[in-house]
Amino acid sequence: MSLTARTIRNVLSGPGLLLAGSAVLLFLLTFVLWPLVTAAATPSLQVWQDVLAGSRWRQVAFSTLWLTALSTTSAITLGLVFALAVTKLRVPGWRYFAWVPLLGLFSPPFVGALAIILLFGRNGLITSQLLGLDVSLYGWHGVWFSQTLSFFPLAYMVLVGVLRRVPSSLEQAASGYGSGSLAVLRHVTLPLARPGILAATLFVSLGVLSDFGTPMILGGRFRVLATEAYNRVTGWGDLQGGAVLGFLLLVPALIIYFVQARFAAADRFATVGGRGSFDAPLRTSGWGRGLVTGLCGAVTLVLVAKLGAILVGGFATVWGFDYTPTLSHLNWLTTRSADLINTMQYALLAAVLGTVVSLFAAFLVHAVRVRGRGALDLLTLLPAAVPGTLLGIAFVLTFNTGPLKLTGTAAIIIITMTVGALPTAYRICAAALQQVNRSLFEAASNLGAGWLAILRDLAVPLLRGPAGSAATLLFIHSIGTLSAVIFVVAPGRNLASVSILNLAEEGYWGGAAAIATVLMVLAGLVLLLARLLLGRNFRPFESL
Amino acid sequence: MKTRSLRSTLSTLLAFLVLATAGLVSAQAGPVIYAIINEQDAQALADLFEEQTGMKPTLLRGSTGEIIARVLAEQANPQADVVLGGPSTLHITLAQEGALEPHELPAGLSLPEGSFDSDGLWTGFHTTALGVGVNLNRYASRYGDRPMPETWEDLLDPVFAGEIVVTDPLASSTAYLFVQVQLQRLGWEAGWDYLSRLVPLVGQFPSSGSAPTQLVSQGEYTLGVSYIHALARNVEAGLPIAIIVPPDTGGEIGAVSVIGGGPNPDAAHAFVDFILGADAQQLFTDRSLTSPLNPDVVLPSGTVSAEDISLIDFDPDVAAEQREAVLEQWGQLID
Repeated sequence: MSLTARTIRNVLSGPGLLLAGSAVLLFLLTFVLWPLVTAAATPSLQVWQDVLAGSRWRQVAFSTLWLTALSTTSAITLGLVFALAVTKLRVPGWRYFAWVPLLGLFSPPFVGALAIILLFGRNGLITSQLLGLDVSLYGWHGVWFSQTLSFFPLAYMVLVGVLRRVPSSLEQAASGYGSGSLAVLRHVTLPLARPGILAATLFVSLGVLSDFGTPMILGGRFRVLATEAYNRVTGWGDLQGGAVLGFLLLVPALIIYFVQARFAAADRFATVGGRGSFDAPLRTSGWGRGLVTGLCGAVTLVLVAKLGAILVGGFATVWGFDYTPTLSHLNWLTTRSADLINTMQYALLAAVLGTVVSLFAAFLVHAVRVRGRGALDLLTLLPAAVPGTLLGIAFVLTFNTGPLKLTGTAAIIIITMTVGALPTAYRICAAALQQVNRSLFEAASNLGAGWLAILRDLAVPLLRGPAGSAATLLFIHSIGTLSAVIFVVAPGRNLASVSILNLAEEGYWGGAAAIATVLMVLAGLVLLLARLLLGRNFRPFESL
Repeated sequence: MKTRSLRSTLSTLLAFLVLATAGLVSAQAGPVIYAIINEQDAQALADLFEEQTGMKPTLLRGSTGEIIARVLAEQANPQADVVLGGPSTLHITLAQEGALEPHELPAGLSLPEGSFDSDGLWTGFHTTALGVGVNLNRYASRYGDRPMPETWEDLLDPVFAGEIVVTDPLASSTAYLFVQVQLQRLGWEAGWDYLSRLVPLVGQFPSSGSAPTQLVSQGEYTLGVSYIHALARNVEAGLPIAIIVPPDTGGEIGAVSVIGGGPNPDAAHAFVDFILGADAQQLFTDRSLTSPLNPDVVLPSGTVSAEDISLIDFDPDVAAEQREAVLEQWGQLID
């Protein structure tokens, strides 16, 4: 630890900081650590033994691991291709491609998987009815296909920001010395983007690991742990067995976290003093650009088709048999309007709460560098490793009775949403702070600025973009989330995503699609509103 | 300058918060209902109840297991008044755990033996049986004029390999009925022999009890083991489905019960009386196409009449006793 760093901590420590730090810590201890400890302590030793002794879990655990590796690799690759196409290659239509991954973020993964069956299933509109093929998506390949599509936007969002900050002056220099475009990518661009790639890998793999909706719908006879944990609870009401299976998922998640943290620590660097650098596209060969453009175009078509299936589904009489337009499904919206309003309100509050917590946590860990910051960092990121099902079960077990009785309140739903999306939001703020040259904070501190002044005049202005991104992500995640909130919703406090699941399970695709459509439109409107209110400071996908 | 923009950002945020917080606190009136039956049917029943009594029910729909878990987890602090639907076995479990309170049968209503609890802890209001749904288009394109399967044994024909859907009993308590029907119909040894010959032909074991009906309706698979009423509903909707009721099938009683110590006990009992009454059962039967237990209900077209169903003498106690052993063996069978 350098002398300046120690000085800065001394200057920054004060009663206000102590208060803010304690509040963040208290929140994390109460709503992350405590529920997990409760959930681990509730199942009796017998339940742990019974579940762990069964040989079937070994097979399922193995499938889970290799599927995670496969889906993560392809999602990161696709995200990287999109990010490169938009930032470095500037392929034809890059301005449109920059917004395409957003389409993938909008539809909840569960609805997305259903739309994929309707389009590409054994009797799918495209595969069977248009092309006359008899292909089956059920199995690991269907899950892989769908997960790649649902998770690459996350990778893209992390990578596009990082790539933008790789100065093109370095690439131009390498190019000027005669390096080919692939060599520039390999030796200049990608190494500089490595922290971003690692962060994206962390988030995508944790997301894939705990995704239960896609394997449930597309897995066929292929099983993964997240689905099994969910089924334990929804099928047999076995909260304890579900909790044990959920904890099995925590092990690989923690391993991924620590491996990532180790690599990330090895190549921490700062490329940003203030902002902006000379910006020019990379020169590339024609066929390379053609290939990338083609891939981006194909993915765009699939995503548009997916959204189209949801949109058309909301207005077609019976999907697959009778495409006569009807408004009858929209009637369902009036009976379920309360759920939609709940979803919007709770997601908005979760976005605000989550942004405040992540900003403070990131500031404490990366700017102030408080003592015990490693533990704080881990605690904030831990929910990413916790499968939604486990989080939901843990909340039920912890807040049903006892000192903090939250069952049936709006608070428990808002907090569940917040905790689920906290790691991503925190990571965006943390990465932004990491890229800010620490000398800025040190200079301010040496000039006598207190922590509040530094937060207000330095961190907040620099973080306004990232905070906007974090809030946007929290909001989008919260309106679509299902696996955890399904356990904490209450009569009269239901959510639209839970209604969608119920209607889709009943086979009422029209009603499910109608609600999903409204959810997507509202999310789009909120994004637009944020853009209008915050103006140029709102760049959710460029700020990292 | 900087401070001002910060302030305006903060005030915008504050405005958002105030807007979002408004309406978080809302009053509840009428019974709070955990529904296991179809969401749309539950909503229709709730609307009728409100029309007749002026009390507005609050609904939350969930799967069987989810509702068991909820009611048991909330036992110290019950959040709901009524469990609407779900097999009687679920209600028996809740009764054994002491989560329910008795409800007196309405005067003049007589129900068949075994379709209600003698202490009044749960009461049946409809029945339904297992059958096989066939997607006629897919069947015709794959099997032409070949006669359709009629018995459970007919499903074992290797030509159906990859075309059958059966819900996984490990994931759904309703699907456990199918496995138990085979074991009780044929006996333990022969039953497992039947299952071990069927499993390789099954295309997938989805986790939701309603999935086979949907997958067959969408034409993703040819044959699906499902409740007859769920299939009948899709037939009514105009989908190309045929319903087969194999001889010696099994059924379940869908029941309703009152949760002990719930927030609105009076409304709860009023709602259960309403469900057992003819109006509600007529509405539910017309919508769900299950068989009502109230004798005053007029059967709608599309309902498979009770005379056409040959049921085995199903023993729910044996099914409950064997659960762990059966699920263990089933797990080994499908891996």
